Amino acid sequence: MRLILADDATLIRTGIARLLADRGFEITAEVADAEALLHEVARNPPDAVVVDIRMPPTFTDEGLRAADQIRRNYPEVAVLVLSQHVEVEYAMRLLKDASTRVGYLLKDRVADIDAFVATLDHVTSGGSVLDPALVAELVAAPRDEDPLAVLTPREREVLQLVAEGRTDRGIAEALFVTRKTVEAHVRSIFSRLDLPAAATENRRVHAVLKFLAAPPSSGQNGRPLTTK
Amino acid sequence: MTATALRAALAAGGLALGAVTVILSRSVPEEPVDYAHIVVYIGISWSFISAGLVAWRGRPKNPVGVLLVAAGLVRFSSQIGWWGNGFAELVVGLGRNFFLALVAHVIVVFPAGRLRSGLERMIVAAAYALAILGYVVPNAFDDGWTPNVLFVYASPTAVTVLGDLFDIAAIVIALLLVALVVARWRNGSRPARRALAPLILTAPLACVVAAAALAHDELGVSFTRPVDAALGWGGITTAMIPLALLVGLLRTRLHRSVVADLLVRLERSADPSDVRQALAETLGDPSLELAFPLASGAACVDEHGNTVELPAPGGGRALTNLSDNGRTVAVLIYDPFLLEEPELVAAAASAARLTLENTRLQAELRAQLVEVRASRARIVVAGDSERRRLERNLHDGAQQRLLGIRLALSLARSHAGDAAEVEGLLAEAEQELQDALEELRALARGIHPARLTDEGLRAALAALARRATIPVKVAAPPGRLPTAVEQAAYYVASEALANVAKHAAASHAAVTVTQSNGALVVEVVDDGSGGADAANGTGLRGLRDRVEALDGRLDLASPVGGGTRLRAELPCA
Repeated sequence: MRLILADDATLIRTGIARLLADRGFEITAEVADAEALLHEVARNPPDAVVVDIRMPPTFTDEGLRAADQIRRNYPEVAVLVLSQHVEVEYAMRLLKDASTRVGYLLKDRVADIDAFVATLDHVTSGGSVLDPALVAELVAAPRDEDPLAVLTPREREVLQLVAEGRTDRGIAEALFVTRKTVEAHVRSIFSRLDLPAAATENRRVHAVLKFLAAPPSSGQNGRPLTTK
Repeated sequence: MTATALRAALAAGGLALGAVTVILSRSVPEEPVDYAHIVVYIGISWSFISAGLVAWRGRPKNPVGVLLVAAGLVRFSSQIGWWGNGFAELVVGLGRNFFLALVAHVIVVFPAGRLRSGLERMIVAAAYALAILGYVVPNAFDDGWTPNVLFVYASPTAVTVLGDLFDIAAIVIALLLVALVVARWRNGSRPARRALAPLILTAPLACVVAAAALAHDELGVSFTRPVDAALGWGGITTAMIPLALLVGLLRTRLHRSVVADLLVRLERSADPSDVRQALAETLGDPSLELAFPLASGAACVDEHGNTVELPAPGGGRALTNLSDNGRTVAVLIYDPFLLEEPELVAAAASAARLTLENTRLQAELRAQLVEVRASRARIVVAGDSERRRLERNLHDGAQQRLLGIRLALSLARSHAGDAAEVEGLLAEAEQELQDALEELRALARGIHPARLTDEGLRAALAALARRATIPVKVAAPPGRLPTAVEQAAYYVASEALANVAKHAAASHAAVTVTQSNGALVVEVVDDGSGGADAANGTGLRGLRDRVEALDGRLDLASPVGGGTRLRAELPCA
């Protein structure tokens, strides 16, 4: 598999490159900013890019914007975005359209090389991935009249794995149950939460994320803030 | 000779000249004596001389007084009539013309006594030039009377044509004067108009009458019979000019009651910052400003304590320093037209001196307050940017470095082969590093929420709510505000929620952000046990500092058993 790495921290970038090279990945380019990333992708589109969110010059969301652009212009290139800490809004932005060939992970995850390689495989083969820490935060957020209260504990577990982007088969393996059981759980969850039932494996990530990230508030919040 | 003696001599001379004029008028045998006209014309001269002398004494530096005296003196000559002596006739003829030029000069320079523009200089120069040439040139061609010392060549046509041309020029200058005075009045500020009032009341009429008289007497223009008759007495309008100007120059006495009113008003006023308004009204100059030099001597402030720049000299504003024992108490900045009424300014300023001293002290206090507030805001901003820098450093430094080591360990482990012990140690080291990374991440987030900088208040508050221990409803509009305001609002919510978690034993909380009337209002409410005290705990005190540094206010309502409501109002217009 051919990869481009984008991270301004040289130590991390070369570390990831070596780990992945060991696992048989071909690193076609290593870059330190979004501009160079876009240039390299245009020159020689890889199978996937791994990109850090915070990069020069402003160290805010350069990587995310580059990811958006790559996903628009090169839908066949999988994009895995790394972030020092998980941001629900960033994840929502990344997954807002089609949730295919895209992942959003805490940066630390790269050190668990087996899991990281599995994630890369999953994303390049068309899946989507959300960091478990992010999903856990969303699921655990205290709410009045918790909408998740209608779910059984088992269904909550399944929901969490769905949100992380796992396939039915992946969930089945993780929970040591059959795929049929997982499918039944998912159907039940979607009907109980009143989510669109026809969702494919990829679309359902977005649906669940949107459901979970809905602000625990009484709703829309007036006119936008303004400065004069 | 002192100025006083000179003035006395001139007064005596003026009286004597008047008497001589009467005698000389009677000595011309061919003409009947018209006593009514003699009295009027001597009266005109005397009015100029006496008004000029009084103005001169009252305003020694202002040339208007001297000009008036000179005009009055030369005015006598025009009434002297036929002497039969060529040189005396020359003096008489020139004197008649010079009187008009001097009056024009006075009208142009009143009240300051200075020529202000090229146009004014041109008009005055033209008036004097005309006074000389208008007499000398036509007489050079006139052989109609003897002994004419100016005679050069006989040409009756030249006499008529040149004479008419000079008369027309004189009429033009008279009308220009009218236009000038009216224009200055129309463009003038309030104090300017007050100073110009004597002029606008008398000069335009006198100029028009003089122009009409010239047209009638010299160019043969006839108006209606009553107008023609009235023009014979038109000089009276000229006599009104010096009297009006004198009143204008020496109006100070009329201001006494105004200054008395000011004293009473200042005594009644509780707020010393009213003093500017009171002075502005007393002096009739709404543009009046006050500046108080700070004790440090570094800068001046206005009555509100805000720094003001003193206008540069010659910059269209007049300054008066009010000193007390050699120390400047206040500086009055006002319309330069008030310089024509120095007594009024001095009287008003000295009446206000005590209040001004009070105001200066208050202004100084306010200035210190302004500075303290600004420095507090600077400290908060500096603290925030320091936190941001720390978070960035942790992110770019320690966190990346630790992660790098973890990657290296991971790589080492994959190359460690079968040595189970090595692999175990490496796995342990990796776990340690992972824990360190997570702690560091939480620390970085606590130091400065990157989300707030990147995504704004709404997203940051939503994240805060997700990590809370109890359900928190967040209602906040989308959009961005100045960084300092967002930071303060965020820390209010974050500190309040932390307190809720620690002390309140609450089951629900709500964070509400609204914007109205140029202020952002952040309200955090819980249903806990209440009894929170703003005086306790550094957290709340820190919040208050932060909010007040932005000129905002923080209110805490926490009745025992009745929940807690923390409300911050942050100006952000």
